[in-house]
Formats: sequence, C-alpha cells, structure tokens
Amino acid sequence: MSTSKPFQALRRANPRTKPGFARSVEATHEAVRAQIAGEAVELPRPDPSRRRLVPRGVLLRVSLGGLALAGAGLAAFVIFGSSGGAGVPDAGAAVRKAASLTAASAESSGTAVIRVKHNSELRSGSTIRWHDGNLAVSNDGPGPGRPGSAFLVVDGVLYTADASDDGWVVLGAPEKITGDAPTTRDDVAAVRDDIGGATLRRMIDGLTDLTTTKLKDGSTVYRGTLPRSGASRDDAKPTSVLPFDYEAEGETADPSAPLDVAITVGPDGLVREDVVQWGTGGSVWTYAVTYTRLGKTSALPAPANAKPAKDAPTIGSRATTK
Amino acid sequence: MSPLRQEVERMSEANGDRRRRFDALFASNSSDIVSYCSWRTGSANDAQDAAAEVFLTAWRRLDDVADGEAGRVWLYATARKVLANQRRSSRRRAALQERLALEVVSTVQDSSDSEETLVHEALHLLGPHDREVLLLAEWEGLSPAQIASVLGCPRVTARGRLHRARRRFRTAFEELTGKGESESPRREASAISMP
Repeated sequence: MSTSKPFQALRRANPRTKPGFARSVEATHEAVRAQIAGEAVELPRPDPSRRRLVPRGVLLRVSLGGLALAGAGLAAFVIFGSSGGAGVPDAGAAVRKAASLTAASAESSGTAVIRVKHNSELRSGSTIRWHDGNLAVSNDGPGPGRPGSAFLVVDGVLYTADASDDGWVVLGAPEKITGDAPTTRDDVAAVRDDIGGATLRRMIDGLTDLTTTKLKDGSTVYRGTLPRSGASRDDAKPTSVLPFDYEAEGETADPSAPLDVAITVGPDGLVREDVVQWGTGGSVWTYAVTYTRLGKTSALPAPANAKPAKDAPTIGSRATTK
Repeated sequence: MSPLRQEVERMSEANGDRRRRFDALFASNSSDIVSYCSWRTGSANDAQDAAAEVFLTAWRRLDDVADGEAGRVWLYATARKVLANQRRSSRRRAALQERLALEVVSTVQDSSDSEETLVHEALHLLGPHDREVLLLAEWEGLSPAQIASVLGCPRVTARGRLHRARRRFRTAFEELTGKGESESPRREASAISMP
C-alpha cells in the first residue's frame, strides 16, 4: 500500500470519516429493518421450493416503465372505430403537421408529464416545465432520485435540489460547468431540443404501418411501429432514445423488437400524448409523455434563498441525510 | 406437541437463526456498502436507497451469501449491479444527477485550498473506471483479488488497473499541487479516460 502524500490525502478524504455518514448507515438500517419486518412471515419456509418472496418491485428502483396506454380505458372513448389501414395516405403528413404545430405552441412555455410503467407498475415519472427559456425538471415517480428532487435553469443559472432540506443550491451557468462528456450543457440542450419536438419528429419519420383512430372527443390516435434504430439519436449508438432523454429498454424486453407508438392529437391539432410500448408476454414496458398547458405554463422564478454550493451537502466527503 | 405446533416452532427457530445471521452480516458490512453507494451515487439519499436494496437482496438470498470476506465481496458486487440497474433505464438522467452532485463538490472545492479539494479534483480528472478501482482499494480497503471479484474480471486485470489508476492519481495530484511535471493534468486525464 502506498504511503506517499497523495495517498495519505486520499485516505483522509474517505467519506466514511465525515459527519453525517453514521446517520446514513442508521437510515439504511431502519429502511431494511422495516422492509424485512413486512417479509418475515413469508420467510423461511420448510421447503425452499415453496418459498415466496415479496415482489422485488417493492424497493426496486429501476427507472424505466411508463404511463400505461390503458388500452381498455382508451377504447371506451372510441366511437367511430374508424381505424385506417396501413398506408393511410395523409396520416403521416397529419401527424407531422401536429408535431410542428405542437412545437410552435410549446415554444414559449409548456409542461410535459412523463410516466413509465412495467406492466401495471409505475417505475419512473417526472414532470418537465418550461417558460421563456427557463426549465424545471422534477422526479415524481419511484425512479432514481427522491420524489421532488429536481434541477432548474432560470435566467441561465443552474440550480439543483438540496435533498437535505428541500432547498436549492446554485451551480452557475450550465455552459460553464465542465465534466465528463456528455456535459450538463448537453443534457440541458437535449431537453430543450425535445421541447421543440426534435425526438418526436424523428420518431414520426420512422413510423411504419400507420393507422388512425378517431376518438369521441375529437382527438385522433396515430398508431404505428418504429424500428429501434428509428429511435436512435446517433447511428453509431443504436440506443432507443425517447422524448426527454428516456431510453426504450428493460431487462426482459427484446432488444431487436420494434416499438409500438401511439400519438394522440387533440381536436386543437396539438399532440396531447405520445405513448411507446415494447416487450412481449408478461413483460411490457410503456412510456408516455402527456403535454399540457402549452403556451400557458406559469413563469419559473429563481428559487428564493438558494444556497451557494459551498453550503450544500456533497457526495461522499460531506454526506448528509434527511 | 401437535405436528402443527412442532412445525410452527421449527419455523420460528429457523427464522430466528436467519435473522441473527443477517443482523451479523449487516453489522459487519453496512458501513462499507453505504460508503460505496455514497461515492458512486453522489447522493446520501440515493446511497441509502441503493444500500437498502442491496441488503434486502441479501436477506432474500441469504443462503447464497457466504460468511466473512466472501460475503463482503458479494455485497459489493451486488451493490454494483443495483447501481447499474438504477442507471440503465434513464441513463442520461442519472448521469446528469451524478454530475450535478459531483459539480456541487467541485464548486465547493473551488472555494477553498484544502487538501481534500485537491483530492477530489484529482479524482475528477480520472476516468470512471480508474476512479472506481482506485477507491475500491483506497476507501473500501479491498485487495486486488477482491476487486477482481467485484468487477468480474481476472485478478491480473484488476491488479493492472489498480496500478495504473494509482499512478494516474498520483500524477494528477502532484500536478495540482505543483510538484509534478509540467504536463497538464487535465490533458493526462483525458488521455486516460476509459470509454
């Protein structure tokens, strides 16, 4: 083991020597104990083959899932049942026009609610709001990060949520923040691109077997299939990127299977929701974005009393707990 | 005593043994796993969630968990998988959150000249693989053989990676403290970043 100064300094920076670490361990203990207490009656069984464990999903933090299309519920709205066949002539043009109109309407402000489900279980959710170039992203599902944890960009300044006290920490201008590629600036830019509908347009361009269904409320659902490569942002990296930086993947999904896409356009001609499903049999993932308050979302003020970063809790070296 | 009563008592006893074994596993290793999850996630709260999932996995698969050092390595490897699963589905979002957390650290450190500032800056200059293998050794106290088990790579590979990571960290640290050679540590770091 090296005893030179750099390594002595490194060892002194070990996070477990810092205030707050013991509380993190204690909090973990409490969480585990509470969960095990609920399982204890199920464990152990005389015959291992009969052992039934509490579903993993109870604490599993896999983030991808989505808002279910709720096919049965949606079907209840269908009155005409006027599904167009494959190759409906104007469907492609109509949905492209809707995407362009939506992007124009979303230019000043809007809200996108994202839900991801695996079968019927909500796995992830977030809400993205924007107004005049300002941006707010909050987690409101069970995915990575605490519910409500978020970041904000207001007047060119990036703020991140301080999980220890529900306050905010000022990080400065995104373009001045450096780090491993892709940078924060890239992430913020990607979200802004999707506010403009970039990913949605790319998906629409790749749709095949397009059909239309008219709903009772005057909306139209455009359904089609999208090859995974059609949802890739980069030809060299065939990751299926959905709007707002989510990825179409799941541990049991067939990576080669196409994505089923349903885009609902409201009677006002704006995209109201886009839903992507993939998987088969007992493992179906559903991703949905619902667009609301386009052009009507309230201003996003800078958070009051945001703390300078030097006062914020940090990873490892200054770990804090709630 | 009725057969049913006997069975209930046997199950109760087995449950007690299982619980005692798990408690010992947790007491011996919880600090290690919370520490690992802390510097991997960059968030105390996310670290607690991940560590809790690791131990719940251990509870459910207690028969698969060996005692002693092998059990400790099993927990690190499980933690690594839990963290990977958490990231996989919304990778870019998770990466952003991690970077934001790291950037909080960086900003904090920009405001002082402390030794810890230099340590974190030097770590920041390493590629993620180098950083992980270095911190598994220096902060978690794992041997190259244990690191190999956690990472799922041959021992010789782990030893090589650790040697390289140590060399790069020393170079970066010394550059930052002005005791090294003239080459920019940032250029060195970009050259050593792993995909």
